[in-house]
Order: sequence, then C-alpha cells, then structure tokens
Amino acid sequence: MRKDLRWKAILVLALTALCAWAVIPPSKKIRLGLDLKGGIHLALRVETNDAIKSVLDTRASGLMAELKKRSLGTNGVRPDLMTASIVVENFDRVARDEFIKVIESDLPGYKVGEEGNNLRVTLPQLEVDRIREDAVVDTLERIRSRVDAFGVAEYQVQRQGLKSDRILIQIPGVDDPSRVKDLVAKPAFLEFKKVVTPPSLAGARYPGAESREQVVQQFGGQLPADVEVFETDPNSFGGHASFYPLTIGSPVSGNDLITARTGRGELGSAEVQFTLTPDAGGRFEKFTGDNIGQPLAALLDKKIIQIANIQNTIRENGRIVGIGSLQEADDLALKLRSGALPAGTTVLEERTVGPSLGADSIRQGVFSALAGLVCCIGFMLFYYKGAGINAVLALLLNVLMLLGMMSYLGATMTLPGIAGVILTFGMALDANILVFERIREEIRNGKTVRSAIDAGFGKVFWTLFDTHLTTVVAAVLLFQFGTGPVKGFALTLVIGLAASMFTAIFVSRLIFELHLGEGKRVEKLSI
Amino acid sequence: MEFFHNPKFDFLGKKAWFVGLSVVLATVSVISLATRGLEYGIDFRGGADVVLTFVSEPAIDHIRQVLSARGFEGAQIQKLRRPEDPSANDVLIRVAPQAGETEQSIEQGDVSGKVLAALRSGLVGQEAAAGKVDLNLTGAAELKRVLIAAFPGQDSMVDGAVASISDYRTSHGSLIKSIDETRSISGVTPEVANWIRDNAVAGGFAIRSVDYVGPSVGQELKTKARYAILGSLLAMLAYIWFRFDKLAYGISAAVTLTHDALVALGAVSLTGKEFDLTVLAAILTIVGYSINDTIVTFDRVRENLKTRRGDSLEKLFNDSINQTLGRTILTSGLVIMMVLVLWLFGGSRLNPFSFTLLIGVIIGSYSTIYISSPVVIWWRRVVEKKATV
Repeated sequence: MRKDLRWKAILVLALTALCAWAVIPPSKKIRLGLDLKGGIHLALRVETNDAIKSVLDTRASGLMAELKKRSLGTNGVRPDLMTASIVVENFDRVARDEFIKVIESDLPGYKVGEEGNNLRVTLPQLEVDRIREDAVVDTLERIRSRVDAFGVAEYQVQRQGLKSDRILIQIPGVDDPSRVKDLVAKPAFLEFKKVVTPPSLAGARYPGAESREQVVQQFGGQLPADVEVFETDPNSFGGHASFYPLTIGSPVSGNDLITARTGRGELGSAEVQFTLTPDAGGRFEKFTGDNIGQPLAALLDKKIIQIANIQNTIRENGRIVGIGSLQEADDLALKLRSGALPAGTTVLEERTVGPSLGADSIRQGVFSALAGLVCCIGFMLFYYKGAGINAVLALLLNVLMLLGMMSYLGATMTLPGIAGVILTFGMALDANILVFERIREEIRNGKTVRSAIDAGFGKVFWTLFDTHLTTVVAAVLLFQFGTGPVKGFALTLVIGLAASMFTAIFVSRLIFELHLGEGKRVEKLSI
Repeated sequence: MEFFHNPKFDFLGKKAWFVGLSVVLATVSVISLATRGLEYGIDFRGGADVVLTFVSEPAIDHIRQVLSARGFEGAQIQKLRRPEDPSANDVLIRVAPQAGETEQSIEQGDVSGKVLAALRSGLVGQEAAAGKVDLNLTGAAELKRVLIAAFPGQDSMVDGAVASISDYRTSHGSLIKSIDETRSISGVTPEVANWIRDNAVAGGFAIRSVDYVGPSVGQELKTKARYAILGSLLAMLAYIWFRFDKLAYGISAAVTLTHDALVALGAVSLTGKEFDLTVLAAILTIVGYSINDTIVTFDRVRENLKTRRGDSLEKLFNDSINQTLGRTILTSGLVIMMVLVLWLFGGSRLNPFSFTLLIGVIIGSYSTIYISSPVVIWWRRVVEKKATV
C-alpha cells in the first residue's frame, strides 16, 4: 500500500473512532433541545428602569431630608425617570449657591443645571450604566438560585448577549409553566407597613376601601405626605381586591432576611417563617413595641398579602400566615431566600413543550431520518453498484461526524435540527453524485479508470466548494433568529455540510484509491 | 445503471414555454401575497397559543364560557386533529395580542398563565385549587419535591415512584385519567398511592404546548425575516458575481432565487399554511440550496468555454445543461425524496416547513435550466450587447 494512503486511512479510522466515541450511546451523548425533551423556555427582559427608579427615589428623599435640615426652601424634590435625574422644584433663588453646595456634597459627581425655577440634578451616565448592569447581573444570579432549587438537572439561565437586558431560561421536564414563571420571574420584594387609620374612622379596625378615591376621601380629600394607598392581592384575600392607606416607609424589608422556610400554623395551615438579621431585628422590635395592637400589613411586590394586629413585640423571628397551600408557601420561602429581584421582569417569549409532544416528535423525527437513510442507501447501491458502496460509506461517516461534532460542541438537537440532518443526507450525496457522474463521463470519453477518477475529483472540487458554501451562507443568516429550534436547524446544516465536504472529497476518493490498489492497470470500474 | 445516456435535449429552444409558466407562477404568487397575504404564525404575529390535551371529548362551548368569564372573550378555541393519534382530544386556545398592546410586567402580561389558571379553576374545579397536586400538570421534579416532603428520608422509594409515574404518563399521552390509576403503576408503593389519593387530583387536561410571543418580539422578528431573505439573495448575487467574475451570472442567480423563493412563499400563502420561523428557515434553505444547480451548470459553461470559443451562447448552455443533466436529475430527485419523507413522516409540527421546502426544491430544480440560463444569455446580449460569455 502506498504510504500516503496508509496514513490517510489511519486518519479516517481515527476520526471515525473519535466520533463514534462521542456519539455512542446517542441517548446519553446527544443533547436534545427542549422542543424534543419537553420543558419550558423563557426569554425575559429585566426592567432596568425599575432599578434606576429606586435609586432616584432614594436619592430624592435623601436630598429632600438634607435640604429640610438646612431649612432651604423648595416645593419638593421629585425623581424624573425619563432623564435619569431628580428635580428640585421651585427652589429659593436667594439661596442658590447654598443649594448647589448642598447638592454637590450630598450627591458628588452629579451634574446640576438650572431650568427656570427648578434645579435639575442628573445622574452621571456611567452611574446609570452601572445600575442597569448590576440590575441585570443580580437578577440573573437570583433567578439562577431559584431555578437551582427546582432540583432539575441541565437547566440553563443565561444572559442573551454581553450587554443585553435579556435573560434566557431553559428548564427541561416542567409541566406547569405558570408556576415556573411565578417562581422565576416575580421580584418577591417583601415589606412591612403600618396601616394608617384615617381620623374620620379612628377607633375602629380599618375595614378596607373599595377604591383609591374612597381612601383619599376618608382622609378629607388629601393624603398625608407619608401615606400611600396600596391594593390587596386578591389571591390572599378571598378573590376580593380592596385598598388600604399605609405608611410609605417600612421598618424592615426582604433585604433584611437571613432565611425563610415553610412551616405549619396551629391549625395545620401553611405559613412562611422567617428570620431577620440582628440589626433589622432590633429595628423591628422597637417598631412593633411602639405599635402593639395596631394593624400591620405585609406586602409582596407592592401588593398586600396579609394584615394582622401586632400582638407582641417581634424581634428576629416572624411569620406570614394565611397562605393557600404548602406549595405556595414553599415557593414564597424559596423566593424570599434567594432574595428579591432588583427589578421587575417582562416575559418576551415563552415556549413550553409537554413531554408527550416531545416524545411524539422524537419518534417521528427518528423514523423520518431512518426512512430517508434507507432510501438513500438503496438508491445509491442500485444506481452506482460498486461505487454506491463507496457513497454509502461516505454518507454513514458523514452522519457519524455530524452527530459527533454536535456532541463535542455541546450543541442541542432540535426537531428542525433532525430535518437538517435529513436534508444533509441529500446534499452529501449530491457531492458524491457530482463526482461519480463526472467519472462516468471521463470514462466514456476514453480515459483510463485511474485518470478518470483523478479528473472527476479534480474538476469538481471548486464546484463542490461553491455549492456547500452558498448553503452555509444561507444557514448562517438563520443564526440571528435566537429561538432554539431554528438555530438548531441552521447548526446541523452547517456542520453536516462541513462533514459532507470532507467525506465526499477526502474519504470517498480514499476508498476508490484503496480499491484500485497499487500499480496494476485497472480496466473496469463498477460505477 | 444510467437514466440518461449522453442526452442531447434542446432545452433552450423551448424556453418560451417554461419562462411563460414561471411568469404565470410568479404572478399568481405575487397576487396571492398581495391579496391573501401570509397567515403569520405565532412567531411573527405575537399572542398566545395554548394546546391542551383532554382526558375525554372536551366541551368547546364550556371552555369558551370559562374563558369568557375570566376576561378572554376574544379567544379562538378549536379542536385540533392529531394525525398520528386520531383518538387524542387536543384543543387549541389562541389569544391574539390586543391592539396597541406592549409587553407588560409578569403580573399583567402572563397571558398563557392566566388562560391556564382560568381553565384550572373553571374546569378542574375548586378541589384542585385548594392546594392539591394536579398530577397532569406537575412535572417530575416538582412531584419529587412534594413527595420528599411527605416521605422524608425515603428518597429511593420516592425516586422510583416519580420515575414510574412520569414514564406512565408519557406513554399514556401525557394524561392520567383518574387518580386510582396510580395504584396500578408498578413502582408506586401503596404508601405513595395512598398519599396521592388524599393529596392529589388528576385534572382533566394536560399541556401539550404553550407558545407566547410578546407583540414587540413578533414585530422585531418580522423585520429581521425580511432582511434575512433579502440579505440571502444579495449574498448569492455577490458570491456568484465574484466567483464567475461576470455580473450577468450574479444577476441570473438573483433572479432565479427570487423566483424560487417567491413561488414557495406564494404556495404558502395560497394554501393558507402558517408562516412561522421554520418556514423562514425553509425559504432560506431553498435560496442556499437552489443555487447549487446553477453553480454546477455555470461551472460547466465556464469549463466548456475554454475549448469552444466559437459556439453560440445557446449551444454552449444547452450542451452544458445536457452534460450535467444526469447529476441535476439525480440530486434533485434525492433531495426531493428526503423532503418528501419529512413531509410524510415528520409530523404536524414540521409540516409547514417540509411543505415549503418541497415546493421550493421542485421549483428550484427546473429554474436553473429555464430561468438561470436564459437570463445570463439575455443579460449578455441585450444589456451588455456581447455575443459571448
């Protein structure tokens, strides 16, 4: 055997072995996409404006307090989300320099500008970018820890692109998408606020109002500065939404929790027990001690989930009762443990595939692929006889390499991906057919078998190169369509074509040359 | 074996008939696209498609009532036939995005979640809402979590039970019909079965699939899809122009591919199939694949040009087409066969994809002969006023 042929054969065998090792057994080595395996795919957008707003709110109230302390006159300090700034309204012009001095020492690095009677204090762009970035990173981290608690292997939580505010979540084997969304995408920001009974209703327990306007009326048409109206969560209040006036400030919040766990109350009902940090425990003790007998509201994501009178002073350990089921209590405890998301999220896209649909698709996909393969093999053997064996070997190796590459790359096989594999059968054989037809033609024109094979492979190389590349170009354009299944199609097509280029030119030719053997003149080729 | 031995067909002599046919097909496609338009699938349209499978024949009117009472008056509800299992009771619930709607926070914007919640309380009844586990809507991981809490320390028993229940469910079309069935599943111990009897229900339906696409995402994808199709055509034009070094070839490739893509889109429009991302993938694949025949023919023309300077353009193209005819017929035949297999056996989810591809591949294999070649000749002769290539 010629030396170069031997090395080539060894190379092909080694590649075959490597690919086989990567593929066998396919049920373990080929990662299936969620459209086949079943599961939920979510694309969320982090509302980073929420994080900016909360920073602006804090800065605005801090500045207001500072101005008040120096008794500098203004109508108020209001955050302006659109321009990421806070506005000091109708400031006392006489004390202009002093205003600016206070602002610059309180908010170093912020740009101060005058707009008529107002002062506008703008957040530096770098700071805005940092807040947005932190919001996305923190949200990602917390969602990951929540999904982790599902106990599902092979979940994915990742950012879509480096600077993007989108998060992709993939969890296999989940049947109920609403619970996943609730658990993963809700901020779960816990607060405690005191119910402020309007003077007109003093003495009785506040019954809850039908509307915001009614609450305002009860206060005589104007809410006190430190009071805001909140709505109840209908799920926790027997399906009924009502409104309560609460204090704006809250002594402790979800950020002060050390841990939270599910428990059962005296009557066996579900509840969440939580423990506060010692520092927050001190604050809560003082707060509850001052307000014994008063109603206290627990809020989750700005909605009231519980209202109860304070019986005793509470230090570190508290509980939230009145939760519908143990499962809901589990979920709430989990969300509280992982920490509140720093910003709200929006579902941009959701794809849930139930396990039976996935299983049906796998069955149909695998059947189609096998049927396609059998058709191809049958046809090539029928039409090209001996050379057909060559093409079939090249085709089988092509499939093996395609699957092997996918396994090495950790790529997922999707339903359109299976279609891509089947198309690759056709396209890979196209390469063989092109070469074989050329060889036949050269033989017909009187060339010897050896030179016909040389000419066949030589003349079609660039044709093959072009045909493969154009299909790859079209497939690459599909990569931008971020959803998994279609991307999977594009990927299998690209890998399959790369493998086809190799098998059609290198492997197929090698098989011919090994078959022809050395030196002796060959008169006939089965083609 | 050989289908065509040294063929000598006069393809270009009869081109008028085929160019005429193409003009008719393309015109019909344009008219259909302009009047009927494309039936956009959920990827581009936005909204929510929820497919549920029911234990027994569902009462569509009742589902409609339940959904209307909970704010989904406009929802479209229809039975779906599952070709591979005619006895399945599948129902599609389609909620279109409201006019002018944008994405909203998870509370207001979770359309699919609200549809499911409405059905759960309206169809399964309050019993399930009262904190019981619905076996048909609880995944394996969640079931395990609940059972571990009920049977602490007996992990292996729980694991076995969970695995058996999910296998049973998957092999029974996603559905456990009644709670008593669980007792008969091997791998479920009596303790677990008792616990399930007391703490779980078998709701009347399971989720087959849920797709939700926010309105702005759909719009974004639509724009991207147009650019992708246009981009692929331009890329082919540029590539062929570059490789064959003559604008005529590039133009001809672009015309051929536009024709192929147009007719395939026209077929999608005429048959009212949904245009979703997989159909887009099919169109782009047609563009990338259909060019192959053209490249093979043009390569042959270029090769023949070296030895036959004197021949007319028609003869050169005719001979080149004839020389590559065997290959063209064989590969087109094989690829059509593969797509046919997909169309026949690939299942309903792949149907729009394989249909589009089938039309495109069939059109693509004749367009090389009857569109690409005449366009090159015409361009050289009429536009560039040259008699050779």
